[in-house]
Amino acid sequence: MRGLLAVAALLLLLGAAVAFHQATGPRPIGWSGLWQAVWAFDPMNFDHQTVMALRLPRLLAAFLAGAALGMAGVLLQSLLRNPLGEPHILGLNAGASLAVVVCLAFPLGVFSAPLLRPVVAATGGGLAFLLVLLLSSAGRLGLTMTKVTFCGIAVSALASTLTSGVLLLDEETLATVRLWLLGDAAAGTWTTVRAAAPLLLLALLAGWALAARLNVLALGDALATSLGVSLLKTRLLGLVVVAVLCGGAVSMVGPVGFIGLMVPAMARRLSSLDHRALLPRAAVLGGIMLIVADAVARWLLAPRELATGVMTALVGAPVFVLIVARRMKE
Amino acid sequence: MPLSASPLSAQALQFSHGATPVLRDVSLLVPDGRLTVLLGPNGSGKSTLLSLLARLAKPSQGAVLLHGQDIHQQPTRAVARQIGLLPQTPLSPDGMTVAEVVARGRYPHQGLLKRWSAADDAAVAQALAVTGTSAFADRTLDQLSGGQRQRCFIALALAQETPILLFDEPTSYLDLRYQVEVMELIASLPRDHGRTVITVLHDLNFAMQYADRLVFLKQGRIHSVLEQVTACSAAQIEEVFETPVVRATHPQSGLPVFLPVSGGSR
Amino acid sequence: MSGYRVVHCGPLMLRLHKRRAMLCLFLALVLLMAAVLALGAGGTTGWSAPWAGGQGKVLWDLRLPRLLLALVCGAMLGLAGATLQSLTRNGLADPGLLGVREGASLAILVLLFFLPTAAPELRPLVGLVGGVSVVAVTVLLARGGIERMRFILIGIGVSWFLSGLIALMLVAADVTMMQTAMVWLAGSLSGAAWSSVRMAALCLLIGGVLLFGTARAGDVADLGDHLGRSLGVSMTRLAVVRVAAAVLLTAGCVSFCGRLGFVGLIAPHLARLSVGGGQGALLSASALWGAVLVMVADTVGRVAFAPIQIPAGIVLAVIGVPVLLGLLWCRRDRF
Repeated sequence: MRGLLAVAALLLLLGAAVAFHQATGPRPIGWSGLWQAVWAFDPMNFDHQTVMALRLPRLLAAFLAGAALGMAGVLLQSLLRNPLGEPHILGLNAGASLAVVVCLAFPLGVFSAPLLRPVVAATGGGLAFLLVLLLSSAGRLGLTMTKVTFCGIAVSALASTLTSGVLLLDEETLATVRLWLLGDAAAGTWTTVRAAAPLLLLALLAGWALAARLNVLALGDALATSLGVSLLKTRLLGLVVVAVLCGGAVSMVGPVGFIGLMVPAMARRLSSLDHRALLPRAAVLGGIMLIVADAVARWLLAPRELATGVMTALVGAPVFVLIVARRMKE
Repeated sequence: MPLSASPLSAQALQFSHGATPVLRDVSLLVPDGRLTVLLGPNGSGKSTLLSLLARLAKPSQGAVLLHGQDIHQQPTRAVARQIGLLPQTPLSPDGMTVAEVVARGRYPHQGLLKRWSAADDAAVAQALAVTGTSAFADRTLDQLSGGQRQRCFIALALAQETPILLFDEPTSYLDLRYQVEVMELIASLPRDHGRTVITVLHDLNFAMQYADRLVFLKQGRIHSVLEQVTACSAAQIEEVFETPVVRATHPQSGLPVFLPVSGGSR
Repeated sequence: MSGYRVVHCGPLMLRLHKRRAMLCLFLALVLLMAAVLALGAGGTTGWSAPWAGGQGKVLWDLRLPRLLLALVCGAMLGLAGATLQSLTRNGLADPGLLGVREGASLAILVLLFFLPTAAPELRPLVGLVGGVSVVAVTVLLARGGIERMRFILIGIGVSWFLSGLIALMLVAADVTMMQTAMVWLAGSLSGAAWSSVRMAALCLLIGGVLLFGTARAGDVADLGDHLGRSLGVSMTRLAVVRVAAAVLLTAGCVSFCGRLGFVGLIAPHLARLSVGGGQGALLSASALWGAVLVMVADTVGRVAFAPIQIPAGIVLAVIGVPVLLGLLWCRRDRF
């Protein structure tokens, strides 16, 4: 019963978020306009053009990216047993951005093709995260919360420095990625959404399929092993899924942070701690959150637009501080 | 004992952590030139009493008197020239040599212009000699054993040239050999150098072997003060520590030794 | 005790460590020579006829103030970093990581937007207020124990939030203002003028006097709270003075050349490796190394890819990030 209620509430929220996003656009287009644009598209109608070429891809990109980042947050936090597990903090976003920028700046054949952008981003993010894990699992105390976080921040800094280095020497690429690099849903286009959507849906399903294993993992390493869950395999699978989720999200909207930090905390209140329910709810919640963040970013200083990533950082950074202040007693 | 013979005294001290009282009405005279040991079970307030005597915290009521005057009414520097302290866990900055650490004990004697003098040199050299640390004066602290390091911090307190020295569990975390090393040094300070020493000790039998005077604390109050170690009875220890013991006599020193009674938790 | 020499000079009596004093002197000499080289490096002029006509003008009006500003700001950041690392007893403390820099930047940005006519002399003061408030907030949030990693993580979170606010302000500002602010924030020394050199030097002087004046007390404070107090140091007052000095130095640097990162992180470590010793030696060597770092970064950024000028901030990040990773690696057993 409670579960059904939560699902209904989430769907209602999603509707409201879409309406809000729609209402904050600079050009007032009513629901009927939206409906017609989708179902009776008239290429000569400017409103229809706006909806189909700008709003819809932006909305879709925001929802898909938010869903991916939300689920990635839950996966990371469960796999690392660390409430600060978040793609942006742990270096995935910066690694993905670097990979995309490198492939755009240097002619690397097929890898520079827009269709492969999500894959390139996923590879970059995955490699950066691997580096973080390698660095932080060294030492006597192993993979502690503080160490993973610090290494994530350092690797992020490394990747962003390299990115800005590449861009400084290549102004042409800088012009094309400037908006995207700030983390902005406005950078979402049909090309990037089409390239990323199938991969993301697959990864979301794969993440959901891991739910049962994550439930067992939550009982502790020793018990999980004795229950027949292979720790290494689960972690590896989880990390691949997380990398693809972040890569897909970054390829559309750029490095938007903190969604993966806020969503799991909220989703855990909305649902049981059973990952089978938690993961899809976190995904939907993440989608809603990014849509709302984008809408607020557009509305706050209208007619000027704030980057979506700035908006999420303004809310997410205090959440980060709160979690550190509360949960880290060392 | 007249008040004048006691450079440091506590008068009706009260102290609490939040709502829990730690010390209730503690009065104590510290006699000049002797080794006083504070003893008591965990949570009896002995370390708190020491930190109040060292001016590290302010009592909620009562006062610590240094030469008859409230310690908190006197300038920090002036107190630092009278009372030295060896805290439980001093920090040792990376890459400092022993001589450099000990030299910091001279801080209360230096001024804005007079940043180093011949007296400072002499005090540091003597502190190193007394604690037997001259030989490794130029080594860094991380190259030393636990006992050697503890002796360096005692040297720091000695270089401060204060008549009164306070030690907070100076032998904790040390091997037996180093415990003996450190206790021998501390016991020599009143005997050979006329210092007044107060120390918190965890180990009952070390206290018996080295103390001139025992102060027992229990539940934030002074339970009893023994001017003679030999007067300590098994009954008294049982009362303070709430565990049965038997009294034996050290075959060499003739001082009392207390041994727990096995299987006797009553 | 070997290695020390007592110096008498009128009423002043102090003790110098011969090797460390020589090392600092050597560092200063190297810095001077490098500065002379940097002055000559660049597109339009060499040392052939430096004072002739237009070339002299380039040297006097552009390069010399820029070089001096780099030296002064580097020294300021080195001092600030050394102080923050000693105070938090954590080698990862850096004005940039603790949010001090962002706090100062935001405060100065507010001043620029709402009082564009305000004298530039006000900037370091306003930055000081911003930086100190950030430190206060971070200390409150961390609730005791500024010596733990948690404190730095909270500082990082706070600086993320402040960066968000800075981005918000930039969007809200009008276009010309935004461009000025962007160039300033990027951490570039290209706008150096004699007036800013003078102001920055004043900040360095004040901060330096405060820090070197409390260096001996700082030495004692390094031994821990209890020992420090029993040796007659009022620990709270000392911490307040030193934090204020470190923030003033950071704010001064931010006011005149924007956000230069990693200097405050690296310089103290280089100082410890090369010179070592107590606060006095650490502060002197950190200041010298900071000056070296910023000057080299600025010159490399100016010359390496000419005519493209790379802001010193980016060159510093290229050096600084690997150092940060290395520091984390060295501390892998500690947290």
